[in-house]
Amino acid sequence: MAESTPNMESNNEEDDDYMADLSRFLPSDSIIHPPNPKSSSKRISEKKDPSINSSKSHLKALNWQERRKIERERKQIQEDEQTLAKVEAPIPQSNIGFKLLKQMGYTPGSALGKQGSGRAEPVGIEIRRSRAGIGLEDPHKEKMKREEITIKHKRRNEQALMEEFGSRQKSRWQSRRIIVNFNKAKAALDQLENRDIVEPPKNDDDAEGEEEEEEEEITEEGLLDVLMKLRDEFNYCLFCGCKYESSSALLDNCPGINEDDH
Amino acid sequence: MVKTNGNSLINHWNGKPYSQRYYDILDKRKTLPVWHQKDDFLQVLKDNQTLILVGETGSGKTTQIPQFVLEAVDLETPDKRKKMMIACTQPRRVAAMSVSRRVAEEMDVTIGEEVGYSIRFEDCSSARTVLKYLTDGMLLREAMTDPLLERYKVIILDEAHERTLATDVLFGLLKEVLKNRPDLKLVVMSATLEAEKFQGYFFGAPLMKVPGRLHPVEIFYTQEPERDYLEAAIRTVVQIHMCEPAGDILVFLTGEEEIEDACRKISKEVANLGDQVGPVKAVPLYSTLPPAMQQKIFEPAPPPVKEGGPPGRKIVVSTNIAETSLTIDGIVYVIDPGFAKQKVYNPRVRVESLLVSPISKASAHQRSGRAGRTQPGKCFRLYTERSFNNDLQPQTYPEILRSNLANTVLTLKKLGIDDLVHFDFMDPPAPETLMRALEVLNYLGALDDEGNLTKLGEIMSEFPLDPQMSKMLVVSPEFNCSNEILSISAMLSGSHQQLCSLDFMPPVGMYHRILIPNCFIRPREAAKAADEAKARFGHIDGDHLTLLNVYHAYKQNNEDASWCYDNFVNNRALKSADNVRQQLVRIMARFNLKLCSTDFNSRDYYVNIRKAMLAGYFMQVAHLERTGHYLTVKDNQVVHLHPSNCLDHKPEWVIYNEYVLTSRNFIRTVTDIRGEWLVDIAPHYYDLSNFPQCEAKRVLEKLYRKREKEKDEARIRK
Repeated sequence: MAESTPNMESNNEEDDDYMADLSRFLPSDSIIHPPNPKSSSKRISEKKDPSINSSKSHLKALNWQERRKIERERKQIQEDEQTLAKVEAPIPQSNIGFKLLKQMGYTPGSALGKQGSGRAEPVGIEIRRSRAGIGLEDPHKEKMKREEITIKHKRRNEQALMEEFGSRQKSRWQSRRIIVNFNKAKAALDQLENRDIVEPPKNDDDAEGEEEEEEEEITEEGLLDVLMKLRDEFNYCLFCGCKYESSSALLDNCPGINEDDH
Repeated sequence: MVKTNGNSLINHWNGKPYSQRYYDILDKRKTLPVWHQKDDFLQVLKDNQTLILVGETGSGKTTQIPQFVLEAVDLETPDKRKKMMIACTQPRRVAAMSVSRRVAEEMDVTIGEEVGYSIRFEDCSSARTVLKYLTDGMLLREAMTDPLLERYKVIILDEAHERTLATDVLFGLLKEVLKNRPDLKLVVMSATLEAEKFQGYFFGAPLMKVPGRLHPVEIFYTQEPERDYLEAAIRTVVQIHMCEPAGDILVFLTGEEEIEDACRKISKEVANLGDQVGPVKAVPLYSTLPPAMQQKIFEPAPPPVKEGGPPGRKIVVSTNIAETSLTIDGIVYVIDPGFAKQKVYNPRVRVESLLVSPISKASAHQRSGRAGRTQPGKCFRLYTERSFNNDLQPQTYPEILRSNLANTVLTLKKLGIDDLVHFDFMDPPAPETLMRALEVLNYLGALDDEGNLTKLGEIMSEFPLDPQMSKMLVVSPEFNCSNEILSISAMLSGSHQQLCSLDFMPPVGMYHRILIPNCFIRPREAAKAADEAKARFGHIDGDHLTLLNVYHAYKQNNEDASWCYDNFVNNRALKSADNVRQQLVRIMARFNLKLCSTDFNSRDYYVNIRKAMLAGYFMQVAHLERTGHYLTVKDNQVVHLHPSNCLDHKPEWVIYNEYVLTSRNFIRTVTDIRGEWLVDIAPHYYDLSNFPQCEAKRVLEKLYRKREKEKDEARIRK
């Protein structure tokens, strides 16, 4: 693939002269995408044309001119955009013409005429620099519009993907957190309930067994139950990591029930 | 009161017996559709002050109605030597000239006597004239000196549907005049649908319809929008030629280059088909085409190559001038891509240009009608029916909404109309268009800060030119170069006038602001020689001075036609420029403006001319940025020097005659000027407290500082 790209580019340059009108305005696009069957078949037919093979220098000159033409067209589109942007900006009130018309009785924002029935805005200008028929926009504009749409589309897709990825990540992370916290909470509860029992081996087995058992059961609600139990019965907050003197002390000092609150 | 001279053998207009030709033409005239309604028309005219008459092209209204009016109306005045007149306005100069000639023939009188015409820079009428054809712009000009148009008894506004700028201004003006002159009558003649709108505007005036002679036209649409309308048009021509029965084709395209291109391609494509199909003759038609070439559209289709072979076909490829203004017999097929070059003006970007734009539904209707002139026809619209319904606007915007109104405002001011805000326009322009016009006139000094016409403005309004050009003329004696400025002005408007005087020029504003100074001829086959010839006239400081060189050379060579031919210079353009110059000299003399020149050997000869031009065109200046492109002053638009310029360098500052949007944003007809002059000649416009941030501003700041320093030094020396 890496090898074929430069080839395509050079082919593309050759094609500039012969491709259909529209594709001529899409040099960058056609580098990225493989040429469509129409243009490739055209290329073949052009290669058979003896008059073109015989005058390679002529071809080169034309290519150079064509390229310049494309460049000029591109610049012109930019300039047209500037022009059209200026068409949007009304004449400022500081203009002497504005003041003179106002002196004649013009109310800013109104229209002229005996009944004030005239146009409020000047007739706009539409710059067409191609031979696209009625109902088709200028190919430049069409292309820009198309690009805009694809970019928007891409962006929207990306955004959607990112969101999906994010939420998936988040939910995965959350459920993992829930399990971890549940286990911690459960351990704390156990500890608080059976102070005397000295844990390791048994506990480990229990925990494992429990975990295996509970793996499917562990939910946010389950976690909440345990957390509440810890708070109600022992004035203990898992996330503060301490046991409070009283339930009022807990309420005053602990920022909340959930991990996020901390 | 009503004179019936139909049976008399003596022409009562000039007392001579009628010629045989008169009777021959009379028989033909009587077959025109409008003759069937002659009595009706005269009755309605008698009973009403205003009436509206709708008739298709070819109904005979333009030539016959004024003659009907002449027969019915009493033109006598207390002064026996002078009669009152009937005016008939035309949007086009050429129509005014050719129609009046035709009518003089029909009435068996000499043109310029009883029947005359008046167009800008040319008055062909006399004290005996009773019927005058004139451009709408000329009638407006006459109103400047005769506000109630008291020399006229009846005013006929023809081709009102074209809604030219001057016609629209006349509408508003005449409504006022009619109130003050109960004896004046107004006939508004229109070809199309908008007649009801006219009726509402003109106090509910009665409407008369003259049926046209139209055959049914079948309309075809494409299934899909076309990628390339030119390609599609050529393809359609070939298809018609291969598949449809005999009948000529009319193709509507947008401009000279496109039309010439299409003609070549059509001929080539048909030639490729071999002798399976008949021969074709592809004929171009556009306003800048020389008259002899334009005549080709009236030639018959070519005969079959061999007897009994497939018939030949004529294919006329035309701009929208073939839409309303002329009738080509034999057209059966019309191809309509749906575009035309139309004038646009936007006050915000201050660009006035011809742009290719979609036509209106009304235009599309008009175009298809061209196929049914002689027999039932077909119209191929190169767009979908959906597009016709959704993408085309119902009517073309009237010119007043698409024009720079600086000149119009000056004219209205001169006519004493001070309340432009409530003036009764049929379609009032956007407020910003008037703001821009007032701004320009204020900066030029034609209007003071209260909006009143100044003395300078009064003089400027007398010149039938753009305010910038009038200003440059009026101040030129101060720069000791009025002779040269006269020549340049004449070349700028004269060569354009030449374009108009070719048949069928579409109306482009009251004074034809879109100037195309093409006194240079550049035939395809001798392009190189033509370019060399042009280069010989070239002045390195700019195109205006090049035009001056051409004019001087023309005069030095005694206005010799063969000299023109040898030097690829348009003889007609120069002849009319010379005529324009004489007219302008007369106006200068009327206001005691001195005719003078700087010594040709003086270093200041060209400098003075350039300074005088700047005094008029200081609002049309572009500055060369360090990045290598030009920005228009204050608006900061990126522009490029038009390739036709003859500068050998890229000056830092240029003035330009026009800013157009063609293949690029071009400024055309440019001349090198110096930044110092901007500060000296137009400090009120180059007021830096009212200037957008840009490179040009920084340069100007330096120039102002330099000037200050010089002044200080001078004071110290004193």
